[in-house]
Amino acid sequence: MRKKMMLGALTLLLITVGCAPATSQTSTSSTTNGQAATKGETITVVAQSGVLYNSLNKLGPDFEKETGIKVNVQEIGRDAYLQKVSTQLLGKDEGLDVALVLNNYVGQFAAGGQFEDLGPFMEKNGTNLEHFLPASVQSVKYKEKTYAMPLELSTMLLIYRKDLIPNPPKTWEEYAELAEKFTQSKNPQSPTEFGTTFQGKRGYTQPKEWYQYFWAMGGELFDKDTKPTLNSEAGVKALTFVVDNFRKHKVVPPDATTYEFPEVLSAFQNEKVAMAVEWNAAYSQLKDQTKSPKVFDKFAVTQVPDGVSFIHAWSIAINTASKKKEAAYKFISWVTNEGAKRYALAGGVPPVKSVLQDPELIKERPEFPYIEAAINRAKLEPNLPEWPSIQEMITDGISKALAGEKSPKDALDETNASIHKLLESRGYYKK
Amino acid sequence: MIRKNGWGYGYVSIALIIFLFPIFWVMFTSIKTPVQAFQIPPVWMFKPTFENYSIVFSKQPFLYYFLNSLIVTVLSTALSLFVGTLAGYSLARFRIRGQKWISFAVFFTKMFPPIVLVVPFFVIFRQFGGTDNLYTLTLAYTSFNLPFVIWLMWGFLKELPESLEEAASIDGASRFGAMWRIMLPLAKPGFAVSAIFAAMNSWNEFLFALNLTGTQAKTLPVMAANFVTQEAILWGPVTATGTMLMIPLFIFTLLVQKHLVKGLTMGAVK
Amino acid sequence: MRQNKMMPTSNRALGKGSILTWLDERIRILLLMPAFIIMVLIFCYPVGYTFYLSVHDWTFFTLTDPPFIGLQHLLNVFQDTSFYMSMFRTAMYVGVGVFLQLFFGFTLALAVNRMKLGHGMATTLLVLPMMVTPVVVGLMWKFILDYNFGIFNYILTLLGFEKLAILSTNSLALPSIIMVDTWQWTSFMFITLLAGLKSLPNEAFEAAKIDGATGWQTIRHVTIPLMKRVIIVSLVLRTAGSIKVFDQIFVLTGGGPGTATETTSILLHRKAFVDFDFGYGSALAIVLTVIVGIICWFAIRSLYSEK
Repeated sequence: MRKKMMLGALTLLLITVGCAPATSQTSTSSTTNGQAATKGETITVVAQSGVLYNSLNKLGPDFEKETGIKVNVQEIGRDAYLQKVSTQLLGKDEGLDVALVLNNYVGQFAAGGQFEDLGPFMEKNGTNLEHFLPASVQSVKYKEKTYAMPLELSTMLLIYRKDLIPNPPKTWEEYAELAEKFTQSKNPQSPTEFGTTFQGKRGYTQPKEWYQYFWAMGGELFDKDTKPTLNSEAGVKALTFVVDNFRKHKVVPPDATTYEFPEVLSAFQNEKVAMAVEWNAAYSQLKDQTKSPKVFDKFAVTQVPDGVSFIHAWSIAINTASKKKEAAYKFISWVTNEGAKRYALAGGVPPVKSVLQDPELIKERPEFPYIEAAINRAKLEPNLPEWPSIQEMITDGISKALAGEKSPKDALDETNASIHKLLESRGYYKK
Repeated sequence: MIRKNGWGYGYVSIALIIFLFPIFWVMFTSIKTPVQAFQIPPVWMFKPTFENYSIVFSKQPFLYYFLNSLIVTVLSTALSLFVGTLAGYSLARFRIRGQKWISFAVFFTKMFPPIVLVVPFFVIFRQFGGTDNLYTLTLAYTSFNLPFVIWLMWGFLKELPESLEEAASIDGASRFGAMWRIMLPLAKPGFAVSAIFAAMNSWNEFLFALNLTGTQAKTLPVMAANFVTQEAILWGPVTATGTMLMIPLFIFTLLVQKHLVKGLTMGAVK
Repeated sequence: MRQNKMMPTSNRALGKGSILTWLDERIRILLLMPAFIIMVLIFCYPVGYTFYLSVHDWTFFTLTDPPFIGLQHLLNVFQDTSFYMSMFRTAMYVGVGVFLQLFFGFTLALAVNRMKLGHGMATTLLVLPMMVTPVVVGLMWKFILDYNFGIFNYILTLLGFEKLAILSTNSLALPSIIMVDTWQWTSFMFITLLAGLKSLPNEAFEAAKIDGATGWQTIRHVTIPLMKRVIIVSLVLRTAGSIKVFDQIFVLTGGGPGTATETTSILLHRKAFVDFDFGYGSALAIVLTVIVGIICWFAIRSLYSEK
């Protein structure tokens, strides 16, 4: 019995230690150390494998040459990335200095105290965020404070077959007409089986494509009191539009509910569809003759119809538990400013005006002007800490409507109600 | 009888094809060029290339991670075997109250979904000695190898005749002496079984390796997952790494296979 | 009982007062100590922590001081339809998967046990699938089952069937992950059951032969009853392993399409690391463990009552 009690006491002790709040003292002590102290330090950055890891890793030696700070970039595969980073951040890992997350996670980690407020560092170093595109700056703020720097931008563009469609659709109505024209069941002469497609796989990409219909038709995710307004007239119209294309007009492949980036790309590469709303990353794949032998010379890109694009940004932030915040700050501000052009050359898309407009770079990356144009009217998801859960509710509603389990209106009513309930339980609407 | 055996051979052959084809396909793909790998119908005759292997070796410190995997596997297997045998012996030879509970505890630890343990594990290791080192990982692996080894050795040692030990005791040997000289050699097949399962679990473990290591103590399965990138799965390096992950365990299995069946037969699964 | 006889014998042999006697008297505990310490140190804290989290509202706003909410999470789990759906899928996954593994494992063990030629070779080769790293298993099958370049679909077209988007079709995704689990773990069933078959006493079979029993009758009335214990142990071990499978499903389908392959451990991952609701996730883990615990408890009880 006594043993049991001892064990219980030990467990309790360990729990309290484990939950001890992050001390705010560490940050002040490291900032007073001054400039020279950062030299010779090594900071650890964790990045998802692929373009983020490759380009940051390539930039490491350059940064070291300029500042004397070594950068150790850790690579984590796509599937496991978020889980690994969250564990390190929640576990207050001192060994992790810089973390990369998508902007819709910034709010959450800022609210939880895992990300360092960059304000004091920016003030001290005299940096500001003016070189970024405005929309991307908004994406890294939580409660008016900056918690990260936008590093890598993604948006969606309309890709279409320029040999078939001389004038790309300007509005969603034109888009729907063209989609019918290039669907064989509607028009037997059509060279492609389907007019267009949709990223219908349940998950976080699906709502992101849908927002572009939703916003263009006048919808907003929230009103000024953060009350969800997805089931507005515009919302029902936008979802009906998507569902009808899929279920009623059948201008979208029947397996589109399993499509995400790679599936849409492959449908377009194999001349199955005449156009598609797709992530900008598709561009480099499409122009590569070995990867897209059928369409590399027959495709073009433009803004999505009605021109309200979705964007999100991989954002780079400092772990509150880090012991080398000064050096970490140098790295994140360097890589998103002085190093941004080199970052773009290494394959990234930095949300930096001067880089996206750089004529030398545009030769290498002809899609940059389209990306910039898209971003000027683009919108993003709000930085609510509850966003991951909300996103889950939205994709649930869209999936039910696409599957025909519920009418678009019923599906959105249900989604809206669950979001409202969640935010209410978190105290959003208290007077 | 012959006809019946014919059926048996046929059945086993079909099973072998189904069991081995995926493994073969991974190895086969790993020596193709990217273009060949995706060709349908598949190419069967081609000049093998080691391109994918050289990508793995040049992009990742493969040998270093390989060594990490090997060290952790060996250490954790040895530690679980040592500690587990002591405990298994005690359970098999003495009447200890609540044996049923102990076997239940063993199953409980085997069943608990590891995904929820990740964050507490991380916190505890960060506080006592830091993450990203091989000893931490060894200890973590031991925690899930140990119950199984205890259980296997318990079952195995129970089957060994006690009279041998008693005879030794009467001859004046201490219990330790009896254990050391008489029981251990007899327990060899039991060790083989435990070692195979412990080594297999440690070598293949992914979740804890992912979360408890950074760059220093990273193991091969975590490295394999790095080839699943944001844009695409790099199938060439994935199959090459997969092949190199499988081969050491296959060799190990070949070496101890005889003891595996013998050990299991002698009571480890009873 | 047998053990009791032994203690006095050895004590007499050693004589009193020596340090060895002291050790000898406590040896049963001493030998258990290292294992006990390791398990308490490494396992009990995380499990305790899980219990702690399950009764607190642990979100990003309440990290430092999560409010105590008692059994609210547990109640929420029981009101959550996605929990029941995931339990149903887990039951299918474990039930069908383990049954298939038992069936194929047992029949293969019977077949191999009779083989004179190539017995060792077949045993070795049939064990290989269980040695393959789960992450690699997931990726490997993803490659094989791919719609565009997978060999499986190529074989389907050779046989004159339509290609199937197996992993992204609602009705096929769950069967396909069950198939992958069966592929990997039939090996385990096979090897344990083969060992079980080899340890059976010959007399019973000779008696059956003399009675003129057919092969099937022998299996039904002699082999299976004698093997009962080994079968239960293998079933329990596989159930325990299969219920928490995470790596393969996560790599293969990630729980999709929709929620078609969202087993409880995938749901757990989603709650903990996508929604970041660790409290709820912990409550879910406890419910899952208790349910499986009850199943295993009955299995173990039946093992002990056999003796």
